[in-house]
Amino acid sequence: MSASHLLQVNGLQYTYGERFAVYNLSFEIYEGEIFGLLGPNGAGKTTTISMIGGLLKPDKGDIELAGRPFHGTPQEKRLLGIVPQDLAVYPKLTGKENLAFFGELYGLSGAVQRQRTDEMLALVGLRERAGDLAEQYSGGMKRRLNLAAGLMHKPRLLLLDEPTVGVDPQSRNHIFEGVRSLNKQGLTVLYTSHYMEEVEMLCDRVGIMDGGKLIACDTVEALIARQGIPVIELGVEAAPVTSHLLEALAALEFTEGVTCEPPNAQQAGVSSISVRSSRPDRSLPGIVAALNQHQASLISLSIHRPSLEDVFLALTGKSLRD
Amino acid sequence: MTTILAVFRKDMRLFQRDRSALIFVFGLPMVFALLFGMIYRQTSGMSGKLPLRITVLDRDSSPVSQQMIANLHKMGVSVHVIYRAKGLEKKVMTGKLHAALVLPAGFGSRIQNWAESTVPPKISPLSLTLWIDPAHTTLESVLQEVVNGSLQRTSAMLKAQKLMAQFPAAAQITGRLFAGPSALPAVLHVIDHPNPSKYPKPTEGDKRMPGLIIYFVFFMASGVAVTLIEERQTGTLRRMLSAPVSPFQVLAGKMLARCAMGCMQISLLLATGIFLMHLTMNVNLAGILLVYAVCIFTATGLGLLIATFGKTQEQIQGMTTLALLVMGLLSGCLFPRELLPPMMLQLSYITPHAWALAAVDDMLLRRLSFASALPSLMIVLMMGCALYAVALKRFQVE
Repeated sequence: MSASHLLQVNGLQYTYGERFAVYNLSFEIYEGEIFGLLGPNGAGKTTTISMIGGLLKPDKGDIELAGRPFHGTPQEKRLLGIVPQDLAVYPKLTGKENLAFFGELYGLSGAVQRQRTDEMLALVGLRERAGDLAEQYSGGMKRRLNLAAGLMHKPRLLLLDEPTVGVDPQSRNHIFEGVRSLNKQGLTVLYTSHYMEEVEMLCDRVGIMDGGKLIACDTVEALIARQGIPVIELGVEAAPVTSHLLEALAALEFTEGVTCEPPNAQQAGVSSISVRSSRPDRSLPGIVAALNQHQASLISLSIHRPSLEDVFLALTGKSLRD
Repeated sequence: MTTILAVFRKDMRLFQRDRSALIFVFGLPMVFALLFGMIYRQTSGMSGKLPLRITVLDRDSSPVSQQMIANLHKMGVSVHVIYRAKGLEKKVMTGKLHAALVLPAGFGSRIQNWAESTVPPKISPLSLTLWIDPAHTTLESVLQEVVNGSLQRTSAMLKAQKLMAQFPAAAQITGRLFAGPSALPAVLHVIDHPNPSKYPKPTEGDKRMPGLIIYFVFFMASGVAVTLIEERQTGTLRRMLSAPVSPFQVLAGKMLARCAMGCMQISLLLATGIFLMHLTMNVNLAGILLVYAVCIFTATGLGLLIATFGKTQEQIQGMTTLALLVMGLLSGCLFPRELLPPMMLQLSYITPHAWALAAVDDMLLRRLSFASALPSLMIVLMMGCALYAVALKRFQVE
């Protein structure tokens, strides 16, 4: 990742009537990275993209693109490729005609336009269906066409606004592969989503938004490390789970806490013990030894690593999908 | 039953919140009822008068000519009397006056002499001239009947008065004297198109087709508005505006496409008019086509403006259908304007349709020059520019 930033937003603010859609938003995107904006619906992601794309004028704050203040001039807009959340393609045009039209808006014509159209159709796996009307495409294919339309003019920064809403797994993979492949070729990407798995899988750095504000921004690993501790889930058969066993587990190195379900088990049977450990790999031998020592049989074991969902929960007190 | 009521309540709630449905179900019929109600009230004689307006040039200024004017009044004509002929014919032929009747000098004495003669010699008919605006000929036959009727009434009444004065016992026969044969024969020279020796009489196509063409050209506003809303709803508008293009370029491109479609539509309507309704083409065709072109421009402006007010396609369709039908009726495109009550006639000029039709009528029916039609055309153009300016402003704000 290069140290120079391609996009920098400072104190961005936008209101719809009395309500703040985006409030004092600041972040930067480095050249060549995939930056994710994660947040629930209504967090202000689309408004942010609209401001960066020059579709909305911020009430406050400024945007810097490629080292220069961004005012939404045609030259500046050529650096950006926007893939809106809506399926912004013409149903009565073929896939090829759609791409040719959006290419023309960016000044592509003739052989260059044809070549670029073919490249984009291949990238999103629609070459076979290029001559079909877009209305005959499946939802996922329309999404892919939507993505290709935003890439026709070879932008430096691609703004992807929830590009996988309502798509089938095959199309989602196509989109991911396409984005990764373009990123490897040097394309910088701003990716918004409320699917934390996608952001976790795809993005180098993530900004978490809620209520129009940026509440955290870092690499995925750093965010998880900052907010979450892995949990080792143990299914234990004992007669019964004694407080001595729980104390022994709590006393282990790297253990941050132990809980038992049901609590204070008095009878023989299966209990579920959760051990919060900062280093599960290092904790496991000690856990097994403690179970043996207290004559408890381990019947299942799983390690739950915290996700961005947990980070969001920890930061906002609510689930990402609430 | 509970389920039925639940569905009923839900549907009523949805209906209540669907503005376009409200417009179609209540707004449209109400506007139509009002409009037609006012027109029929006027034409069916409920108010006692036909919308006949005539200017009488009274060169005679005699009691008989005044009696003739009074009779015209009594027959439901709105009469404006003048005593100077300056530019009268031109005023009628350029549409500034609807119709003009000339009562020549000696009109009264001619009738008086006829009425006094006990044994009428060979009578030469009285000759009168009636000018009618070539673009307002719907009530021409009614107007002729009214003038002839008034003339007969005037001469017959005078004859009866003379008879009664000479032979009071003959009063019982006066009823018979009111009948036609007892009136002074008259010939009414009707001039309802300019320079008859040079130009043929306008065809029905000449009278009806321009209105229809203008009406359908303006219906294009609906298409413009709907496509714009569609683009807004699907997000393609947003996508276009995120490209290095200005709102003006987007609107201009859309306007061009609509203009091309409008030209095709006009060609089709003109062809229909020529082959089926004998539409005259050996007139100032370039000027007339220019009027239609300006109409296309204004119609697209209207469509864009409507699009900035509506949120859904249904709303837009409701709004445009209502607005365009009312404009079509009011302007004379669908319904002869001369039949409208005076107040509504004035109101018709708020529509670009009315000005456009006036410009075409000037060239096609009144055979005036393009320069004469230019003021009306400029008004349509200015309306178009104003519509564009407001639409563009609202479009940018949105």
